[in-house]
Amino acid sequence: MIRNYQALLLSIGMFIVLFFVALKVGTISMSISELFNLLFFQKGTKEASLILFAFRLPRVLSACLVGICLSVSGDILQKITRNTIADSGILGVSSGVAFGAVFYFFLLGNYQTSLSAFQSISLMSFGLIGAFSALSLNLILSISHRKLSMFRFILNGIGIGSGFSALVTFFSLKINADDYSRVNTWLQGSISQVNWEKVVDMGAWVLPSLTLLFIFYPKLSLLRFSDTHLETIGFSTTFWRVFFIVLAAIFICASVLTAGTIGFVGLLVPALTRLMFFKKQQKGYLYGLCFNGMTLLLFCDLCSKMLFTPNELPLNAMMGLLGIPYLFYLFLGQRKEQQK
Amino acid sequence: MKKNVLLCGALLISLLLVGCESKKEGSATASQSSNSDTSVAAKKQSITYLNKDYQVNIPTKKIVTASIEAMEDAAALGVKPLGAVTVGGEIPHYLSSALGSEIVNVGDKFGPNVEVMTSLQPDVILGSTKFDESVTKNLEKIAPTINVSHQSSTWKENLSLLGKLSGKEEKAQSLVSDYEKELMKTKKTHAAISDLSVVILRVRGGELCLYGSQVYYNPMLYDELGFKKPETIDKVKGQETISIEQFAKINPDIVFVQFAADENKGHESFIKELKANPIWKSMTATKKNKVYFDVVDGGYQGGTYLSKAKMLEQLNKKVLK
Repeated sequence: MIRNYQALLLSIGMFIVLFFVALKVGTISMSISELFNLLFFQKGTKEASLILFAFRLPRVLSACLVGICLSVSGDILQKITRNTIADSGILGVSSGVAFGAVFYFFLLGNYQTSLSAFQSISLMSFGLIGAFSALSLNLILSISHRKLSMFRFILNGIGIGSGFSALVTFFSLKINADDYSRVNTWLQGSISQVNWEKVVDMGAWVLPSLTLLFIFYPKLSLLRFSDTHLETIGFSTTFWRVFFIVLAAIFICASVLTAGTIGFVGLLVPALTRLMFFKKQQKGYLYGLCFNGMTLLLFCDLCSKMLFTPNELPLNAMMGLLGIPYLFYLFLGQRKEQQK
Repeated sequence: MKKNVLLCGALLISLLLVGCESKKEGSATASQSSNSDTSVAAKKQSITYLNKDYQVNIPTKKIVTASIEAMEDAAALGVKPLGAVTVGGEIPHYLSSALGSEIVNVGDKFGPNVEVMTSLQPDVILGSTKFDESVTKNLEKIAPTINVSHQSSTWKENLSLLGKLSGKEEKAQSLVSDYEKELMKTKKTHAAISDLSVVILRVRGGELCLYGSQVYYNPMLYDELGFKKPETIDKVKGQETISIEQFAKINPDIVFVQFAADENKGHESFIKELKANPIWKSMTATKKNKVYFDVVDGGYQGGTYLSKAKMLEQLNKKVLK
């Protein structure tokens, strides 16, 4: 058994190594000394500093933010639904956000990537509305006799997800045929063209929400107990559930708007972190979750840019390559348990 | 279990480190080759393209063509760019021989690879008006970026832009006047053109696409040559898919079907199926043997000098005998 702080140190260690590898490796590779000279003394050729500061650093940072968003939102959804296979992709929330965003572009008349402050706030709200409508539709469909049926919840989620994807295709074709392929590239998940503005934009939503999550994380852990127990100690289950769902929606929204719908992260990271950490309800676990999420996304982004250089693989496809073996592993594990 | 996790982590990291070492060589050669021709002396000059001013070092050889339109212009003018974009990982084959074998792949036509572009140290990047704003913004950090219009009506401006940048302005002008002479000649010899209705279709992702009157080859066919335009064309905005049944209702006298293999992955047998389709067989053009498959290569963008000249040549050779 490794202890919590050892697990955390391992997570942080992996993250730091991968962070620097991600900065060092690219289509144009830099030596380690070149990288450190640039990072800490600002010394180096003009091209190298342009590549590092204008292109690579924002890309790495946004991969980190997306990693945090998806893994943390996966954890919240899993704790709220008391189900370890809940994930923003599987529950259809990501597709809901994508639909909200595409619908906003449809109202706007064209698809564009640089938005004014007002536009990006309204885009965010459309995304949030999409997330909520996907989630509440799912809840309405899955609750029977005032109890949430887990089996139905997942199945409905998959159905709602494909429904919203179909609507996304419909509306993106409605905007403009030329824009269709651009919307498609965005939704397939690519952060190859991010810039500092986008990172700041995304950080402005993610960091405050993350702070809130860290402050109130113990409440989320409480939600795993049954409602009747919680009500007797005066714990308002409905309020906290809604609160955490809103947080999760903000995380999912921020990540989908920047990097498109990327599946499996919310599924993989909490599961892997659970393997590493002994005590699963503490803040150490949440830190571990964030670091592992960042590491996974950095790794994925590295693969997606290095496998077919200079052309890129969509992040979603890369994540699928890693995620699907894990799903098989889950199924196999369940079968073994049943056999016992 | 926990030890396994540790081991896996260590393995993953070592794998990554191995992976990044092997990539080094290719990039080193790329940056060397770009350094070799820095000796061309050039001054920053203002250049105007579609009512916008750009400050560029001209004339220059260090051009990156990041749109298919610009690549066609480069092929027409005999300019050899440093780098060019690819479709499905490859430079379209109808252009590859004209652009030379030393050209660097700078990534996909929607998301060019900024790192490769930077290492090429271009003086100017010819982008595309199809780019996202975020792509244009990133490219502008590397070098002055001129987004070449993908509208067919700007073909003369596009050609003369590259002519000015590469110092081949006269050649650009003579190409344009040659084309216009050839066009007049064709119209004179075939006066019956205005009675023939014609439609050009492009197959994309296994679907027939119809184009609006200002897109693809349509301005050339209807406005320049004067073929009869079916009413449906005016209702099409940009590009729309059409079913065979709907298309059979238009029933034009001449049909062109353009099929580029890299735009139709997984639909390789589309043309074969189309030819066997009973509705397709019942159309006037099919019966009169006036359906032309890939009269020019399916990759041509339609609205560039090279596309037009090639089309005119083929029309005279095959269609308007």
